[in-house]
Amino acid sequence: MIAFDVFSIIIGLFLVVLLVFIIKIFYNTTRYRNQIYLSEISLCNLFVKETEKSQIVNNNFKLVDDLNESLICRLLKITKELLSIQNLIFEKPF
Amino acid sequence: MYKGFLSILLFVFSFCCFSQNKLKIIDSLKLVIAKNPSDSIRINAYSDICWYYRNISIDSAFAYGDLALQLSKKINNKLGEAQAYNDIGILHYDLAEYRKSMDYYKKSLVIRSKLRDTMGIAALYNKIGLVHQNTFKMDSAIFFATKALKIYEIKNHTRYVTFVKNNIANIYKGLKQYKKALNTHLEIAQENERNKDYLQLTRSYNNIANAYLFLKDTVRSIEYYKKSITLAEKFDYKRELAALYNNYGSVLLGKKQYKEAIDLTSQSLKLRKELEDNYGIASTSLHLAGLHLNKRDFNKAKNHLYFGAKLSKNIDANELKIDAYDKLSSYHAFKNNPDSVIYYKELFKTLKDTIYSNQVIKEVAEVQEKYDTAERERQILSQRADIAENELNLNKKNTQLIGLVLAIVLLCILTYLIYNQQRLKNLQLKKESELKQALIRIETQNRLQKQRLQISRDLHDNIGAQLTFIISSIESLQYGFKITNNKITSKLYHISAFTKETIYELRDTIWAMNKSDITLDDLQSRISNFVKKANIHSNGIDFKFIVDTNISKEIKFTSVKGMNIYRIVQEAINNSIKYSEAELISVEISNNNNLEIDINDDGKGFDENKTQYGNGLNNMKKRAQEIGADLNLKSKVGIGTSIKLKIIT
Repeated sequence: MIAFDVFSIIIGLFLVVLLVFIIKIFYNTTRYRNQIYLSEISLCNLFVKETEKSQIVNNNFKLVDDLNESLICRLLKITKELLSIQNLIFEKPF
Repeated sequence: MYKGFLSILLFVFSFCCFSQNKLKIIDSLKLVIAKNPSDSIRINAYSDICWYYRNISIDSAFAYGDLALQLSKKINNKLGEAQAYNDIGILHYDLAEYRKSMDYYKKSLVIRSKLRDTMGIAALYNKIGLVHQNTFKMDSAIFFATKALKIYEIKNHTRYVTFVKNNIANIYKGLKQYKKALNTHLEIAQENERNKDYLQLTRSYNNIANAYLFLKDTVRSIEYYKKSITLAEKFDYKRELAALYNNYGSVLLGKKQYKEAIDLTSQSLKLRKELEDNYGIASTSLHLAGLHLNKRDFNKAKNHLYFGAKLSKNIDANELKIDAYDKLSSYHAFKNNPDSVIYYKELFKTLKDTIYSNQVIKEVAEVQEKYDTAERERQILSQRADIAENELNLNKKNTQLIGLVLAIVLLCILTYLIYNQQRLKNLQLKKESELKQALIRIETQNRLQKQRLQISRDLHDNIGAQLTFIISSIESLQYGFKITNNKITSKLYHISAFTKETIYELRDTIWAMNKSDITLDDLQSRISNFVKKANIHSNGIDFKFIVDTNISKEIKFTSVKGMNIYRIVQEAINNSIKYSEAELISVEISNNNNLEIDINDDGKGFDENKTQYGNGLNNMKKRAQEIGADLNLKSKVGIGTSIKLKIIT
């Protein structure tokens, strides 16, 4: 048999209040976790986008480097050819 | 409304009666009757007047008691009738008319039993017990007192329990069990002291003093008599005072202080005559007679003796009759009348034997045993109730303990949850901060790279313009001057073509740079354009460009990868055009698990073991390695060369 008195009722009420707090905090934590998850996803997406951009820029730099290398060779070659034409011109008349 | 008002008035009167003069109360009650109230109120008023007249005028009390009885009978008010019988019974008891008193009590008891008026029944049992006690029928007295005591104890009516116990103690005294009587009276006195019931306390002290006297402890007896007399005089308890004077007179007699004893006993007789207390008058008269006998004042003794004996007979008080017979025999002994002495001795002996017979004592013991058994049962019940109460308390404590333990557990859970939530917040803040910092870093880096790229683009635009200027200048030279030197013409043509190629390469790179990724479709179109241009500029060489229709056009490459594939294809075709002397150059894009690009020519080929690879072929291999592709070159002299590029998509 369960016997009640004023002190028991106070303890009961205290238990109810504690339970309410636990439920509230548990609910808040779950909601906060979801918010964190969404925020993290959003930040990750931004990061991925920026990384992709960085990748594209890096690729472009590789292309530019490649082009620069090729251009230097080609310009040197053109200069060389032009110099050889100059030699031909000044050695012999047209 | 009127009836209600009168009821309230009566109620108020009943409460005020302790503080008001009895006559005033009687007058007020008569006024109530004069207002012609309802019969039930009238009955109550008659009954109350009868009660207040009890100690003032016994005749008036009888008259109002009769009025209450007649009216109750007339309107068939059973409660009123029972009360009236009870009141009249009390009046007869006061006059020591015990037989009449008993008749009225019995009539009242019959009605109250029918009405199931438990408290009324208990009061009647007590009064019947008192009648039996006064007529010295102790077995009946203790029987009825015990019945009354049971009811009062069940109802938990402490005050009435004390009254009844007092009566029982008096019965013990009557049976000469003084020690038992003394203990009970002491117990009752304590209860009365606690309750501040001074009337009962006065009686208790008197009873204690009597008991000590019977136990031969005169010192204590006198002490209690004096205490009782002080109280009675203080509160003007005449009836009690009369009894006390009489009793204390007996003590003084024992101490041979005859004069003081006679004075006190005379005062007692006077008071009892005022109160019309026949029993008391008889008792005191006999006592006074005894005192006079001791003083050898036979005339006075005779008067009191015969008066007391007659009254004792009239009221049928056996105890007093015994005393009267005893004293009469003594008197006649003094007077030297042997016949009378024998006669009264005989009467004395017969009556005494009747009263103190063994049968009576046995029956009293049986009744007492019954009461003791009931008392034990009551104690067992009380113990059971205590056990049940203890169990209930234990259950309460257990419930509280369980509740407290639960509360502690819940508090721990709550603390953990709060800690966990806070930890999560901190972790999230840290993570978020790290991500944001990384994001800022990469954004800054991208911004810087973009700026650098923009500078490169500007530079390349400038180079493009300068290259176009070179081409334009060369073409002006070619067409503006008539150059006869073939070597110079050839060199100029070669420089112009080479510069154009450089511009194409520049444009291709810029095209690739403008795209974040290159689809297979873009690549296919670019290669196709190149093949078409090659076809235009290469005389005697056929070009085939075959693309497997099953290949998904959605395949995507990064700009570097796409550009490298394009450059490999471009280099391979250029090599075939320049060195193979081929008639047919084919480019085939197929899909065998991985993307495959085959560039074949039917030219002269070369011996792979003997030929040293030039810059072009090495560049192709380097580019393939960079993009993680597999490049296979197969050449046979006189058959042609085949280049297979396997790209992992």
